[in-house]
Amino acid sequence: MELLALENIKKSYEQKCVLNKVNLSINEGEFFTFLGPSGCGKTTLLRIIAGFVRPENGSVYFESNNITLLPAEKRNVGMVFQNYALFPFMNVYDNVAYGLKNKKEKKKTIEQQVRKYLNLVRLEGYDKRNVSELSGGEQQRVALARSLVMQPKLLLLDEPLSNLDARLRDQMRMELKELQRKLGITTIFVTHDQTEALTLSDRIAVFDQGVCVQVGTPHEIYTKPVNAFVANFIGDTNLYKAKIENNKAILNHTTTLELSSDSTGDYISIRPQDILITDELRVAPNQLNGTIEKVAINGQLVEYIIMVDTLELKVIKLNTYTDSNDYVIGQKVCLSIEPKCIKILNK
Amino acid sequence: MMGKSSNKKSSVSKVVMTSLLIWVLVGFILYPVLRTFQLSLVTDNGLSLSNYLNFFKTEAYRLALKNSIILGFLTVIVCGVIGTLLAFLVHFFELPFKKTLDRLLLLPIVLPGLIIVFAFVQLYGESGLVTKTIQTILNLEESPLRLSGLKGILFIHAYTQYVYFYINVSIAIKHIDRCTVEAARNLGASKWKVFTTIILPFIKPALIASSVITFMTGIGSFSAPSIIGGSYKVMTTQILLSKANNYMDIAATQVIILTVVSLMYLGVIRFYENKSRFVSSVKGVSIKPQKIHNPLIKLLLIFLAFSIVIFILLPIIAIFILSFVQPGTWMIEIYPKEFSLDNYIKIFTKSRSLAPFINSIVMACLTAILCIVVALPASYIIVKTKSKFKLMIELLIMLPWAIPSSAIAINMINAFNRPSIFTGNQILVGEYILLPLAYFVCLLPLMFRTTTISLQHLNDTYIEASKSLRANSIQTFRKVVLPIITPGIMGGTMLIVIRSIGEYTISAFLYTVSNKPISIAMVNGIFEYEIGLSMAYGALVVAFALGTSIFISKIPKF
Repeated sequence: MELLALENIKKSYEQKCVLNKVNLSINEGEFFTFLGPSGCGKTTLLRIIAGFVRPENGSVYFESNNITLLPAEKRNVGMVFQNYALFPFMNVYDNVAYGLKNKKEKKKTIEQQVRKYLNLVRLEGYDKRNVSELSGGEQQRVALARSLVMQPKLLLLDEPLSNLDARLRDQMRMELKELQRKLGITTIFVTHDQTEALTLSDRIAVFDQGVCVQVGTPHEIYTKPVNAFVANFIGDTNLYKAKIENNKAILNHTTTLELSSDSTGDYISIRPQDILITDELRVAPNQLNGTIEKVAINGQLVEYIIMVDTLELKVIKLNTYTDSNDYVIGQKVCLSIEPKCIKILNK
Repeated sequence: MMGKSSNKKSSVSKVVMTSLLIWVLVGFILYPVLRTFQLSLVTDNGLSLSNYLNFFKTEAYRLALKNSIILGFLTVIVCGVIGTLLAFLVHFFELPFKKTLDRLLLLPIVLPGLIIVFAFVQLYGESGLVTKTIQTILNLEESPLRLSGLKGILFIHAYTQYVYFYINVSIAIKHIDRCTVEAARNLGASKWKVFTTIILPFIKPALIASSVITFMTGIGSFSAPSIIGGSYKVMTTQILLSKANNYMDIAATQVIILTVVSLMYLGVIRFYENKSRFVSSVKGVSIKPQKIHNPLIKLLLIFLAFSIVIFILLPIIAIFILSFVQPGTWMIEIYPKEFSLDNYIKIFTKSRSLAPFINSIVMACLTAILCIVVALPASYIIVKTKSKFKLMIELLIMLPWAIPSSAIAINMINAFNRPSIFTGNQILVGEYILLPLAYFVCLLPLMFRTTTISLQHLNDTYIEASKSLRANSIQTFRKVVLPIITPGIMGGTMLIVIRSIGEYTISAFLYTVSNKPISIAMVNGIFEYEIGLSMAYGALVVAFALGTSIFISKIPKF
């Protein structure tokens, strides 16, 4: 069932258009992600949903009611800010109780609810702590408890993991997903980190310069990017401008690749893991000779930069014991690319 | 300080520096306070509290104490309301000419209080220009304004002292994290609720800190009560009276009581301040100025801002215009009609008239030099070393901050009216140097803060980076240390010069024939009906102060 609908949202700041004709529909219980590079308008859109920014054009529907002009404090929408925005002059308890006090709940209810949600985010016994004494992860959880205690229908998360260090980020990511599943709360998550988006989301909306370019499940977004921007932004890829003719992509005067289907476009995209390094040329389409240019080991993966004439290719292999034929810089290798792995894209 | 010298050598120089510093601080700050305290306790019958008993038994003294405390509190309230409202007007709402308005509102801090008092008398006094204008327009029999007593003093304090609240609250508003405001609204808080539960707590520390300095200047105020106070007697004027009558033990008792009141307020507030202090843990986004949509309110605010500008500029304009009034004219008319350069010509051609101007400049420079010489090593010890005497040095150096100027003057008299080891067995009372010395004691805390902040900006890694790039100590000092610390220290020094050049309170207690400063010359001019001459002195000081503060604002900072 649809919970939130955005229709034709438009917003500009000082003649610069930050959001243009955005249409989105978010279902109840969904974990929905706005993904895009910084400055693409995703945070502005989130702030429009929260009610801090008024769109120039278009409407926001929440449970089928038009809330475009409803003040922020009257919307049943929770928000966790990028810097958490904890009230520095209140302790943990008062921070979490703040919203309930605004609702004029009974003191006893407030106490019960605050305890319940502090337990939920695993912060029992932290009530009297000063927020400045908490670590980043703990502050994050207070911010989460503070929003959840209001039992909002919709939870907005504005890059909530970006201020944490890498290890904590991974842990909090798991906790966040777990909590969302447990509470079944509809969540909109804003991030510029594609890994976060892919691992957490039910559906993702990819933004580029104020326009929503693609909406889909993580699998769809990764395997069927609608254009070169999406292919390049989500996951690593080898992106080349190419001339498409007769089931062939002409990259330059020496390299031509065979394609599986003939669609129109000016770019081709090949994921690095789809390129196979072999010792000799096979009897198959798209066999190339190349030279190893760079090698980088990244734990479970090995990343190679391979030159095929003037063409630079990125190739990724699993770093396993059984397949540990490490190639060294300068080594001549053969490459094999299956035609179905080559995606034809428009800009 | 940064010598490449061996550890032993540098530790010896550190010990020498620390000892010299403590010697100076004890000799010129602590010892005078203790001398006054001693004097207040010694009576004909040996040590006793009879001076204090006598003070509280005397109706007039009790009244002066009460008046001072009332004046202090009312000054805090009046300046708090005005300063806070102005800070919100300029920094919380979107307003045209914001930057200019902000600059103008800071102006009163560089204008000497005495000059403001005289300007106000000329404008709003019983026969002031504004008073007479209103009277003529409305055809009133009596003058509509009376610049005297508590109301008059408060009116002047409102002009001269709202600045502390204005500056601190403005900074606090800029530091409000916009996200916390949004978070509060997201949690269902109404606009009013956001103001009381989020915005107020954010500016509370600023309000508390400003109230301390405003209270202290309020109870220590001397220019306004002495010139327009009339029957409203306060402690500072009583102290001068006691001193003039040579009742030094009574003066000492009054000084100690006034100092204790000041310290008590400081203590109570510090206790309260610790409770309301908070640490903002993450970098916030500062709030956007609120747009005002209602055109009527917008017009009203612009009108208000415009009136404030006029109110602030009027005294300065009045001083300049009146400084050109032809001597001997402007007796009974409402507005002066004959103007000339005679007052200025008199100041710069008659050596008797020029002397105060020269004296003030020389003493201001002396004060600035003394302040740097003491404040810089003190800050160095506080910021860059682990000396055991850090706390002691900081307490001693900040002590004058809590002592009213008139009290500092009396302390200096009590300490140096006889030979002391700190002065090489010289008696300083009656000497030229006593006045700049007292300025120095009074302004040292201000200089110390500036130098401390400057040195805190001097991150040690800059020095290490410079050395790792093969610069020797001298090159490092010249190319790295100096550029970083100079702007702040220059700004501080200029402020010291501005503050001492028009100083009146300490001057009234300590000046002699040899070092009569410009402020005393102004007062004398007024009492000899040479208003034009007084205003010319005032105009020179104001011009100097404005020029200097423009210069300060132009110093590039890092």
